[in-house]
Amino acid sequence: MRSIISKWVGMVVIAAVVVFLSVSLGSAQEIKGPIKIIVPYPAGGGSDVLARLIADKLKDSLSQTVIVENKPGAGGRIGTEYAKGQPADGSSMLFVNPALFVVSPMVYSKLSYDPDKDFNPLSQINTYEFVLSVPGSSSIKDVKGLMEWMKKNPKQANYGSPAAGSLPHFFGLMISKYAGVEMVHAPYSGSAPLVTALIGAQIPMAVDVFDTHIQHHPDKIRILATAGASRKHPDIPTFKELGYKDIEGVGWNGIVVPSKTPKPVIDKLNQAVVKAIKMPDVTQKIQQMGSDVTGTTAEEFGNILKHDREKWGPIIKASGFKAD
Amino acid sequence: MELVSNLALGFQTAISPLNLFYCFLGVLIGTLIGVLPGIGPVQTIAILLPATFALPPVTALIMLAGIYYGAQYGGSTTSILVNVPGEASSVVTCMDGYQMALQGRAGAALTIAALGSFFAGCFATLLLAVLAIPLSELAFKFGPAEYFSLMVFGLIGSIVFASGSVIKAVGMVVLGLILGMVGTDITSGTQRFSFGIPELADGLGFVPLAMGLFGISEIIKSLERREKREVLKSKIMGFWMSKKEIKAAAPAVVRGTLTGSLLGILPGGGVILASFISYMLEKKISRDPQSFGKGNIRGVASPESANNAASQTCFVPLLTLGIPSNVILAMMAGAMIIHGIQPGPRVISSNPSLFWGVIVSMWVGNLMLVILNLPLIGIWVKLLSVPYRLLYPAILLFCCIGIYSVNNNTFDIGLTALFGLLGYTFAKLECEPAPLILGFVLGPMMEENLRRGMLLSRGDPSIFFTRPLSLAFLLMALAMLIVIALPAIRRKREDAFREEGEKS
Repeated sequence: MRSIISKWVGMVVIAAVVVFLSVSLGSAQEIKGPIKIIVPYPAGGGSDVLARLIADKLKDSLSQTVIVENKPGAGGRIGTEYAKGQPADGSSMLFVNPALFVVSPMVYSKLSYDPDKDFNPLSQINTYEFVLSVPGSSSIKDVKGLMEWMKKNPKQANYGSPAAGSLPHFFGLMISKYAGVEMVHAPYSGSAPLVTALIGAQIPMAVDVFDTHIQHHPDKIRILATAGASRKHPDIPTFKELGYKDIEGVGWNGIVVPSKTPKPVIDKLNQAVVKAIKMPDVTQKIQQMGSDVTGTTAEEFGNILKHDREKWGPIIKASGFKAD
Repeated sequence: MELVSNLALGFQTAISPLNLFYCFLGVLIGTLIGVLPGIGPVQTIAILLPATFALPPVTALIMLAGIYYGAQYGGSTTSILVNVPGEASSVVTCMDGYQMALQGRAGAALTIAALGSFFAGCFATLLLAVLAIPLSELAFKFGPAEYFSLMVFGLIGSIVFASGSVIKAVGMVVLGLILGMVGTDITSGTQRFSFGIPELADGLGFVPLAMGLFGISEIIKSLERREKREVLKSKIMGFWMSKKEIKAAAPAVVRGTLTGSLLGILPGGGVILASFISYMLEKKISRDPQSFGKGNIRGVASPESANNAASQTCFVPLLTLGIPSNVILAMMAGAMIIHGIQPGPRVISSNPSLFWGVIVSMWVGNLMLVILNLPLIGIWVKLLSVPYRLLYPAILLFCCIGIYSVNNNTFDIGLTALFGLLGYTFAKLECEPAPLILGFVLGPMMEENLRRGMLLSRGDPSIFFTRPLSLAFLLMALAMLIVIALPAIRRKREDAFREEGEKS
């Protein structure tokens, strides 16, 4: 409650400045001191909830004020650009995901930040797996059945994803390559309308993240396979077990810091963040969101970024997808 | 029986102390802004939207809904007492309500407005509860073709129902469609008309657009006219109606409720249309049409019931199909999305306590309004004398705070100012901004579904005509076009709106 009040007081002050003074005074100097986690998405979303869970624990372990600052807009790019100009002294961290650090650099000809030059990795927080699902009313019961059906009905081989240019979009293309059928991609505006269309069998199959589909499995939506390294649900096989060795699709959330942040500071923050997410109550909440806690070192997170770019790069290039 | 258990769940949610409090706050604010001419529920909800972030979603929605139907109550008070419609939907109430007040029957007019609204509110709550589940089942049958055709129907509806010139309404819809194009295209993921400005990558914000076009422009407009408000001097006496009045008003309330409920469900409809149509209907079936406009109680009872019924039933398409049928509902949809709830058929199953809680809260809120309205009339009348020079700067300040806090970005404040000027220009040109807003909201959805439909059919446009539901919507849209094109009907429509315009 206190943070809400202080946020409101802050907003009133800033708004008053904007209204009564000139607009050019709006971007005054940032005050050093409190640590802020910049979330480039609106309050209340998945990243925001996660960041607030972590901020709450960091307060105690670092004995500092830790605030979450929402800078939403342009799919996270506004907040990311904002974060790169923040002081590199450990007082600012940025919440990121593959869309911002893996896909965007490949699909934008002009991007206002460089993930490698402007930022240093701090830690990967959690991972979430992709799933391939069909409507509950569908006659298709497993991945093999789906592949056969697509061969027989190539004109109907359409799949939905939560957004154009999202990792699930490219994950669908990965499956398409394996199946040897040209699957047509139908993007939706988010998971909710996609799930609605899938339940109503408006689309024969969909690719999305695990937790948006599992709540409807197996009655209204049938998840055919999950795309992680091991089973996420006892009754649902992974693509790997089914023999599709290279079909793997995992998204994640992570924290980065502005690039000039000194190494000792990064290490200290990394320890505090990893400690926070491994606390039982935090871990439990993250698992409730359908994802798995990782909490890597800064180096490991750097390697994950490199690995993901090598893995998705060829698929994204082959798709010809361009965002601007 | 399921209905009973659902309503029980709703009651459980709605009468928790927190929700009761915010429901009360909502209807109180609603009545307040309803009484004050110039500030309507659209601006108020836009301003208060960010303030609800800290609340649980169900509480936030209960409060916002309360503002909406509360405003319908408050609007009638100003219409009857001052002959200035507090709300656009209360325009019709002025005709007979003020006449009744001049004849010393203000008390009776206020009473029938409140009781009629309460009856309509009760009926609409029940209707909402009964219709919601079957309609949301139907919603799963809605594919891209059906959605596209429904949007076409809705957009044409917004033209037909707009007051004033048809050409201007068409122009405003098209302008709305164009503004809706700005931002990232859902189908291709590519940016359009954003000119490299990252703030435009998500499209023009709905809050800056709505607040600028309605709120800021209204304030500018008010500044150029002199304050001229004459509060009724004579005493408001006798809150009770005579037997004869009750006998005349009761069937009118029922007819108004039915008309309003029906028109509320239609896309593009809503409260203004409901009150207007019900008044025309009442006049048409009356044996003594000459007495309308001279203080006939039925002329108050029917439209007041209709606008309240419609303000509740228009939640049906939003909560079941995810389609907002008017500007305020579009705002409510925005509020739901901000709280992480995608409006659509899954709301009932995934958030049952939210869904039923909001529905039942409407009934609870209506009860509060009756209790609130009758004894507080004296205070409302006093409020009408607060000078605008104090009121407007305060509103402007709250607008700025509200807009900034949506994205924590000053860009949006500049955008709002720009749309405020545009809105003022529209007012000078006598162009109604409501069709623009509907075009802005429905346009991108229409494009998205058209292209998705074409993708899924692999480029075969026949899906829009071969699926029966889709075909039905297209035929209805066509019928509406024909109706508006027929010269005789067009003339009548223009006469009717002119009559309405003269009174306001």
